[in-house]
Amino acid sequence: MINNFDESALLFALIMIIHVINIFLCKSRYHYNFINIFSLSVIQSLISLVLFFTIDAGQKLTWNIFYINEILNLNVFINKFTVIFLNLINLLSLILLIFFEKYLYLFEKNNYQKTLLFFIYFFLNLNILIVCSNLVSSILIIVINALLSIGYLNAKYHDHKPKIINTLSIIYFFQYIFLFILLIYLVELFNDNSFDNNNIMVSNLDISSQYILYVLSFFGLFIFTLVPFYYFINLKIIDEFIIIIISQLFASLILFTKLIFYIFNFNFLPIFLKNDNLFINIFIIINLLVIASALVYSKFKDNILTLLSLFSLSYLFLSYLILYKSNNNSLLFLSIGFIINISSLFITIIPFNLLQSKMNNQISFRGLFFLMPKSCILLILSLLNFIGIMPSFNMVANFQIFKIFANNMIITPFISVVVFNIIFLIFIAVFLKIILTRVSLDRSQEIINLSEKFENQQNLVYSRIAVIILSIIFFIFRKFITL
Amino acid sequence: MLKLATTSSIYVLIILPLISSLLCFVSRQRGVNYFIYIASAILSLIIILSLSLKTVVFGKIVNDFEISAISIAQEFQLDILSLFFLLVITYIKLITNSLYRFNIESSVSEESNQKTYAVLLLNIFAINSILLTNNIFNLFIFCEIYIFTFLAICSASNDSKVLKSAFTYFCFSSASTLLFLLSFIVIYLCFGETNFNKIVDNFALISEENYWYLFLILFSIFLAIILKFFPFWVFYDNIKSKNSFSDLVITEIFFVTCLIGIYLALKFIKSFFGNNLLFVKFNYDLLLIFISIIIISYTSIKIVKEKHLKLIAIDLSLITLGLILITLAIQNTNSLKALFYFIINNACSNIILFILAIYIKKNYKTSSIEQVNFSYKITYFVSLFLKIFISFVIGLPFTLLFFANYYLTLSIMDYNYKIVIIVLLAITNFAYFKLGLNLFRVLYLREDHDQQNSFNLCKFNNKKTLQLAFFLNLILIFLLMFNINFLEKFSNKFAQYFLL
Repeated sequence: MINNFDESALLFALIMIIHVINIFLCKSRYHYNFINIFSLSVIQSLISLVLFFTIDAGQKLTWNIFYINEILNLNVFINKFTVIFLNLINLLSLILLIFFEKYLYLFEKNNYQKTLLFFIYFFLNLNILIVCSNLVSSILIIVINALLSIGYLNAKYHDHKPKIINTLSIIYFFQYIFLFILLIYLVELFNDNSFDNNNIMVSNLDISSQYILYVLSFFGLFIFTLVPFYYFINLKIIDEFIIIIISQLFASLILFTKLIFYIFNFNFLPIFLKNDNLFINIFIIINLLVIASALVYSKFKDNILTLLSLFSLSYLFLSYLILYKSNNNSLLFLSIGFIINISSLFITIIPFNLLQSKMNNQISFRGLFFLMPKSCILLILSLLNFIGIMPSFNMVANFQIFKIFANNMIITPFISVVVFNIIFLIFIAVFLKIILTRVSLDRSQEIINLSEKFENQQNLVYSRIAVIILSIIFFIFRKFITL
Repeated sequence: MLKLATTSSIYVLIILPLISSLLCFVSRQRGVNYFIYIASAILSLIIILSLSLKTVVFGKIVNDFEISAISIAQEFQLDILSLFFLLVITYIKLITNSLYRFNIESSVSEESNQKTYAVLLLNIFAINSILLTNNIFNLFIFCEIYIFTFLAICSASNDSKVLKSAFTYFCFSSASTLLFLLSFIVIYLCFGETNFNKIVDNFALISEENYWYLFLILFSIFLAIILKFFPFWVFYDNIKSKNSFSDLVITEIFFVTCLIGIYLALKFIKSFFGNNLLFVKFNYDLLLIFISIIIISYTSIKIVKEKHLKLIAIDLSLITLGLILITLAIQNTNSLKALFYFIINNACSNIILFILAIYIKKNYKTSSIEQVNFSYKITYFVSLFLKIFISFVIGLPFTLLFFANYYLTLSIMDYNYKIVIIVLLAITNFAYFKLGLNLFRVLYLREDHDQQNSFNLCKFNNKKTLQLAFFLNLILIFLLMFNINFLEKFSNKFAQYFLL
């Protein structure tokens, strides 16, 4: 136990130190040497893998960093749960770093350094968030993420002040207020906010308090992802990915999973489904249908990615509600699967998004398969990943969902799930039909150059393949991901 | 021996600034005067710090010279309340008067410079005496000395606007003096004592029928304190003034005088309500909440629209005042802890914001943050400090503002008007948040080329002071944050002091 303590502390400290070195390397522009950010990231992922094998199931190591009292303290802890997430985030950061480094170098040379720097900042924060041992410190990280996002937008658009910054900052403010009240409410109810033990406390509460807790945590965590998506705030796709997905959605998902695991317990989630709450179910179905119809009719016009993300996010929340009954692992699988899939979706769709901004009409999408076959195949694969048809990590969670329906049929959620999957399949079919139609078009040289870059640049191709393989690897080694 | 040393250090705290103010007349050299000033200020800070541990442990340190029967003697007492305010005010004095040294001193003749240092030291003497005395007649005299020193600082400015305001303030202050005198005489007639502790002891002498006496006393003291120590409306127009002395006056009024006012209000509340159940009888929380709603909603709306950093800093301190009123209305341990943190936060971050505003005004002729581009004008370290400082303004978790908000929110859980207070808190925090983001944006603004040329011509003046003030302040904030356990204990004692 003592030996393990030293070892794991050292390994974790190494991961953090490598992140900090990466930041300095990125700042000093010397990242083309032998020791560069990529080699360090590889080492980092390897260390997190080693860390995974030094921790036994059920073992928990805690370190005090800044202690004031029982409630307000800054402790970190490492156990099987956190190490799984550390592995995931570090592997993802390596792959995404390879992709975005090349992408930024090719297409956004002006903001190359700045964007890369903030990219590393966000992943460092995610690493810290994973190991935070209570809600106060997690809120600290989320607010720092918010400030960094605003700093990123300010740094990027320094010459003009986009209105987006104002809107985003107001949303951030509400997020902070929700989380702050959640903290106070938890402290008031239980005099505790740490992710210490598998708490059973929430299950003893009355329904109204459970509702309040759920609403506060849900809106506090996901308001920043949902509001920009619903209002279709127009950001560049790379900004959207970095600000909304990496800095906020990943952090929210990690924290939400932790809250469900360590504070809320499962008994309170089913209140929405247990009584066959018609309102909630109809709301979810209508939500899914509206987004789906928007998806089908948009035909790659614009905001396709936003719609897809929103669609999958609503499905994720539904799955959270359905999977409450099964064991802890399936909820963990759901979060991990979503994190991998949303990143794979983003980086496989980026080429099309870039082409779309160059092309004026959507007819030019026709026959695109013959121009850039690799990108098309990768996109289709990642879309299939999403509904768990591929032997991917999402398959596990989807399998669990259908297993639950086989045992105990609840009509409305079942309809929602089926509708989601069918619509996704239709979307894929439509997409395939469009890109496989042979047309003779004179494409401009610019577009051909652009597509060739995506087809031939090794970094861009391999990193996209790597994300899909990552999902499959997690699927194969799913036996190890148990708590 | 220990007891004698402890009580005599209280006398040192009072006599030291008095003697050093006389010493200022020995030499006309600027350096010598500044040295005397800074030495006496730092020495008194060290003495207070050395006394603080004993005070926190024993509760209070009192001189026990029972010289005369009617107790007009010099009676002093250092308890947790006065210790806390002494620490905060001495720190503020140290920070703000460094302003004088670097900002104003060069433009003043040697003779008036000598006099100003003497007056500043006398001012510290008066403040120390007000905070340490335990006798209402002594208090009366020291308040008057304080007002005279303040008016002397105003008169040094040679600015007609400041002098006009000072004259108005003098009139208000005279009225409040009369009210003080009246109420003190009534207190003496009622209780037969002038010592605060003995007033509390004799409280049972008042019969139920004579409670209206208390009302009279409380009302006149309330009015007197407001007139004397919160004359914000008189000086509000001078905030944007270019005169350097007016900045000194503004910091005195908005950061020091109001603190003394809060101290006196707390002291009177403690001496009248402390050991008695009058809190239950005179439930004044609705009135306080109403006043704070007016202050907070007005200033918050102003802050969101406001562009001038000077006004923003002052409005922030007004918001803090409103929040302090709320904490007084709630009256439980958590709310008093929140009061403690609000005052520290006001002394640490709002005052630095004001100093920053002064320097921006000096260098860019305006303190509007929309028109300022100092991303290339300030050094890397100052910009780093600013970034850290912004996190304190916003109230990130584990900063002082966060603790204040945390305890205030915890305290209202069982309170009747919690929705109102939560809304007020959300409004104030939005103002803080917005301000922090505006400051954040200033750091990333890039100058246009035409502007850049004109800015290159003007040197960034007084950089040293800005750095010094920032550096001192950040050291203090980090010291506080890393010794937050001590601060927590102190705040617990502070809260218990009222609720025993």
